[in-house]
Amino acid sequence: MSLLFYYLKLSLRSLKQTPLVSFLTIFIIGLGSSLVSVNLALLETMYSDPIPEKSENLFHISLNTWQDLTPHQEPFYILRYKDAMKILESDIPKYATIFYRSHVYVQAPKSQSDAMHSADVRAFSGDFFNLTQAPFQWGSGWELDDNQQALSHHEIVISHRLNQLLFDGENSLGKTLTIQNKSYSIVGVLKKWNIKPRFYHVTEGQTYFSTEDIFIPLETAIDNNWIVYARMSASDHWTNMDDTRSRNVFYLQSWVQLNNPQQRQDFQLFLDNYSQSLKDSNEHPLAINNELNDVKTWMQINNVVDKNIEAFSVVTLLFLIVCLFNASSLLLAKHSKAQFETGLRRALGVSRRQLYAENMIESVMIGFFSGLIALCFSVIFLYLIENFLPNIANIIEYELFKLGIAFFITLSCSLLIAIYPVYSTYRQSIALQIK
Amino acid sequence: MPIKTLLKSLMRRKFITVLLICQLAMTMGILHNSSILTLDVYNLLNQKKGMDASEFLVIEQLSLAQHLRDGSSHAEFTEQQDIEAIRHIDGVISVAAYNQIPLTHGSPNANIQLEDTPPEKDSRDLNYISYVEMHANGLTNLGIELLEGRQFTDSDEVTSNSHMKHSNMTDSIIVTESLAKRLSPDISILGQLTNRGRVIGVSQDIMYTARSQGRTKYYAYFIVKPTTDRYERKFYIVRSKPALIPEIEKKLRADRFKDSPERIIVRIASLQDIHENFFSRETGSVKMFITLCVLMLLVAIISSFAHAHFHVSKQIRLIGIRRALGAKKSDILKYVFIENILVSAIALLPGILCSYLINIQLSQFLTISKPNFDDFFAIYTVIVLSGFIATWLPAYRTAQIPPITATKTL
Amino acid sequence: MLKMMNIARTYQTKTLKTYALKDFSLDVESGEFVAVTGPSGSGKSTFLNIAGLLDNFNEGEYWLDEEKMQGLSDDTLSSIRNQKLGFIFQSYNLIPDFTLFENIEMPLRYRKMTRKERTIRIESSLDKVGLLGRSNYLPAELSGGQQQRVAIARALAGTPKVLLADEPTGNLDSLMSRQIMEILHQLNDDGMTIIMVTHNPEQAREVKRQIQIVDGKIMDYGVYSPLKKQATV
Repeated sequence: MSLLFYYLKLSLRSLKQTPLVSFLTIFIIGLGSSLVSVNLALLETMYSDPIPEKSENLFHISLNTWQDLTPHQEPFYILRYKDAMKILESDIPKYATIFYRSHVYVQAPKSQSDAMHSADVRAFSGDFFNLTQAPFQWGSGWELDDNQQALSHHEIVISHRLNQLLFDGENSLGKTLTIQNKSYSIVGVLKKWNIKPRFYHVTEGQTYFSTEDIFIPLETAIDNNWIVYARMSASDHWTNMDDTRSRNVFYLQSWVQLNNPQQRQDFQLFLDNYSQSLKDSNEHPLAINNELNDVKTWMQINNVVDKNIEAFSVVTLLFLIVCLFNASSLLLAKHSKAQFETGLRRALGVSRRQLYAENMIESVMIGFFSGLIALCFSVIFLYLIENFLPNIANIIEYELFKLGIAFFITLSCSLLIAIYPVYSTYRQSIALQIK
Repeated sequence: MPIKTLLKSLMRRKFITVLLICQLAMTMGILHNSSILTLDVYNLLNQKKGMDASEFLVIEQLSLAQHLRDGSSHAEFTEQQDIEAIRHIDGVISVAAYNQIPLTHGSPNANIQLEDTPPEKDSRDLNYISYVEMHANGLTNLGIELLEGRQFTDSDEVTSNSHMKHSNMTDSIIVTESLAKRLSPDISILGQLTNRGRVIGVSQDIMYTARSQGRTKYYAYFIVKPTTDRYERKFYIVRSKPALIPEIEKKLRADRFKDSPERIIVRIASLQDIHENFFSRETGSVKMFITLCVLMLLVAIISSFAHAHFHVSKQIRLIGIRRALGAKKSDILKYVFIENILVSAIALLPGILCSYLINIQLSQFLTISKPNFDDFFAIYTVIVLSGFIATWLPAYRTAQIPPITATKTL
Repeated sequence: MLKMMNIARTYQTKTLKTYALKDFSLDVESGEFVAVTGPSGSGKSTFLNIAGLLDNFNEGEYWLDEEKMQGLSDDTLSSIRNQKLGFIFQSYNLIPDFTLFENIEMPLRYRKMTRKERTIRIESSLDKVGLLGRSNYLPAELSGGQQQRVAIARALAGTPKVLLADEPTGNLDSLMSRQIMEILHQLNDDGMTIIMVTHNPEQAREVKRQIQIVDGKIMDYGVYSPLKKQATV
């Protein structure tokens, strides 16, 4: 133990002896590894499984039902109202849901000011809450009939954020909100709900949006003409959302939960049969080509991992290598400067192993200081990335445990780069060193 | 100094020299590719727009109240009041209402085809054509010139959504030059009937879908139609002198254009800002790369500095001998600098190689142009120069080593 | 050839001003061989450094080859060292990475000289010290005596006016010392002016003229005084 303290004392002294080299080494290792760590932390979030309990059992549906030979994509990931309804009819999936994204302005409750609050909306039919495991604080979703349609209208579920904003986080069950001059009563309030990535809607660059503030039955949203804030494709003319029920307007996305391969097979067959029946009645001329993609595949298809971050990671990795090369040659210079002393100590009987241990402790020390610097840099880089890439700002979190990666990487780096310089010093003969 | 001698002295420090060359090569590669990305985004932002975005201010509004978007006379009246209010602000040249603005993502859109051409597989590029519904002065307000045919008049106004139904003989549309050539490459499109109406004019190109490839970004057609009936979202585009825009914006905000339960002012911003903001992902990415470049240059400078510094500190005696035997201070400076240049020269080829490899790697994630030599040499020069500057201090200190050092025994 | 008049060299510390040389005068004619002796710290080295333009002085005048060494720029001093002076150091001061050829070539590099002329000079000076044919050896491959001979060859290649030797045999055994001294005498016989600092009284006695420095002053001029017995070292 006292030897350890002695080593610590020696390494501190050695750092102090060459303040410039030591500082530059520490600075450079910290700089390089913090950039890499920040990127790794972001990539880790992007690659992470948003719903590990059942990501293999949830499937996004793409259908090939465009009515002529000019579909934008085959199969198409957005569905017509009538196709989506067909999916809800099936009793094969454990849960099924269809939805679209909208956006509204909510009037604050009477007691407050005239301010309008911008709110993202998810309008859906079916078991959206069960399928996505949305956590409720108070209340629940609305009642469903046999076709999984909402029984009662003008009921909404709001997010934790909106509840905080409008009701100061109080239980707001039963209260009403005015949206576009109509009243909606709150039947459920969610807990904080952050899915990263937000797997159920990863198209149109909306992957890293937060979960919505208002959840409303699909039919209610359509009846009240809440328009679609996502991709919409139509070959028929339409004026109001109401028109989209009967016409060739594609805008709904659909997910189902299929718990085993049998169900999956059955449901694929169900979709293909449906598509075939449309083709038989000349409603579309395309091949029978319908897809079920599980969460991971669907996220992969839609490039959920931000390309900028991925590209940047490649470059920052090179940057780290450059930094480590640099630090390594700095250390080498430092060691060769101390060669005489090293030789002298070896001549006085300090063993090679002891010197290795001493140097490793010095490296750990450099690693420790670099780690501290890396932490500071990490916070700065996160802040910069948040500013530079607003589309992913939502996933950036200053989670210390993640930045712990930075510390770990830094430490390993500083041990790694010390190997050659230390080795090269001891390779030389004592006689040469003290000559 | 003979190169051979220098090479020999570098070879003696193989490990450090190889590290240094690798560092330099990677730095060159990364800086070069960052500069390519930056230029790409610069070109993206400066592609032909067909208009001067800095002359325009956009008010984007959302009518919440039904009576502001049902096409009723009340809605018309409110819009008229808005326009009058805007027009009377000092510095405003003209103003008009639209269903969409140029230079962004292009929405809403529809397919277009000549009346007698059925949809085909290869006409997909005609599926998403931005249609601009606007006031009759909409084109002149944007400063778009007509190349053929006639301008819109108030009598061209369509009152229903007829142009969304196939073959309507009475509606008049104006198409952009690129779209005209795409639809009717051989003969003039003037007077021809499309599924969206009869073409009465061809305008110069204006970019409505900024992200599209090639000419399709200039595909658009215009139609005169009230902006008070179908769309919730509506844009007033105000034309003025660029310098006056901030002032006008302030007045608009202070005056009529505030949020209310009836309507939301989504944004008031110059078209230039909106356009640049549209590419914020690209510019953000470039900013990240530039930050990295600055850091890499810093590290390169530290590296050159440290290298020269320690190289020198090991050679104090040898340099003393050279001085004693007649080397001038400038000879010693040359000695240190030439070594620096030599290392940079050796790193040139690996640098080019690195640049290509990084480019290939990056092109898997980003759209990035192929590397070119002009840029590379510019970057190379920057790196060599900064290495040079960083070497200055150690080199200067080396030159100060007194010749008497040679007589001292270590 | 070399003339010093009332030279003083002082070293100033915070509280103390010490004289390394004081009121030092010396006149060396062309073709002389001067041995400088004296106890450690007497000022021998300071004298040699000043004579060799490696160090500057505070008072007095120094003429070298009819030129006054005062107020000259660093660059001028460098080229005088390069062209008029030849150095031989106690520890040879060869550059370990360079071959013998490159070592001798190094000072010539700082002159405008064709490659051909350089080669001729290098070969002839290597010949003079008896190492012709070893020009591609590295210093480490030679004995100490041989290395010092290379150092002499390096000094000769520049055809200096004066050869300054700082304890040239200090690191060598007696046999090797003998060889070096023979070379120096031979050079002197051929007309080279040589000033040599030495600890070795035997060597000092061999040469035409000896001076002894004690406490920064010349104690004694000795011209052809082989019988004088010095209690140095």
